[in-house]
Amino acid sequence: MALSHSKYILGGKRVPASQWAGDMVAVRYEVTLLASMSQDDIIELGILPAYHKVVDAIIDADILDTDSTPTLRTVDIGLMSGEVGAALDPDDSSDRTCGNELFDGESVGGGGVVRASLKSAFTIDPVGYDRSIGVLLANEGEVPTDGLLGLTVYYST
Amino acid sequence: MVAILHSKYASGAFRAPAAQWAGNVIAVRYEFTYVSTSSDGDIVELGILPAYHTVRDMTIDCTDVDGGTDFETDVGIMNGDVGEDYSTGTTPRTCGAEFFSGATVGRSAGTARMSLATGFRVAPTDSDRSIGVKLVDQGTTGGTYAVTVLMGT
Repeated sequence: MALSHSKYILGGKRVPASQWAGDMVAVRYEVTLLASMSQDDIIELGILPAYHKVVDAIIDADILDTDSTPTLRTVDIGLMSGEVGAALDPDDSSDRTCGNELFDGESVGGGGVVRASLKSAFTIDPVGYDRSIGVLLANEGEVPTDGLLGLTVYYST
Repeated sequence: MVAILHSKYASGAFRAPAAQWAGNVIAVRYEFTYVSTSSDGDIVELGILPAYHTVRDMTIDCTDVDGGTDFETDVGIMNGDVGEDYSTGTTPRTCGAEFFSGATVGRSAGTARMSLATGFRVAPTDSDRSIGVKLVDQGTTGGTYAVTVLMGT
């Protein structure tokens, strides 16, 4: 299992937070999902700022699998354990993990747009610290190909 | 002859809002009355995407403007400047299909959510741009056609 970090995580780009109570902010994160990625690899893609909850999430994907059944290439998207930017969970030095609150085994191989439909995406409680939003390659698919995976996240206090 | 029709937002009577903070999402519902005398290829310059903004989401809501199975629209970014008829000289402005391509809502009343990846990938620019609706195939009755745009920086 490999863990990579987006520019948002490395500090190259700044993640906004809402300025007023109830104010909604949206960020579109984008990453190139490489054909060389292995199952269970994780991309630490975005940040859910402290005191915020997810309001909605939308995937927009290129064609990521050229097989006649591209639906086998799937991702989980959710909150990661540990601290933003860390390689390992600082609590016990274990590998960081990625949840599936936003998307669970979502098929992205064929490309297109997918909207969050899991109850768990809309019931994330705010906490007093920043959290990482991760993408876990749940299934490599059959004939993977490089392509963009966009994730628009709406969040609010 | 293709007609370029301008909404009150495009002609300046209404002011399109812009986000006040980084990442802030604002929503505007742009509406126009579709008339059955429109022709295939006509473009309605409906809304404004302010400078430095990108589209986060979009939804069409529409009455039954067709009563049949013909009505079809594209929704996208127009070339040229806001409020103008021509892009250069006497060349009429054109309308893209980044947000909806061949949308059929309007054949009966309903809504359509944006489902094209290109709709989520419009890069910001440093000037206002027009959001247009191109009448690919006209309907036979009139009605209301509206586009709710979520946008942010």
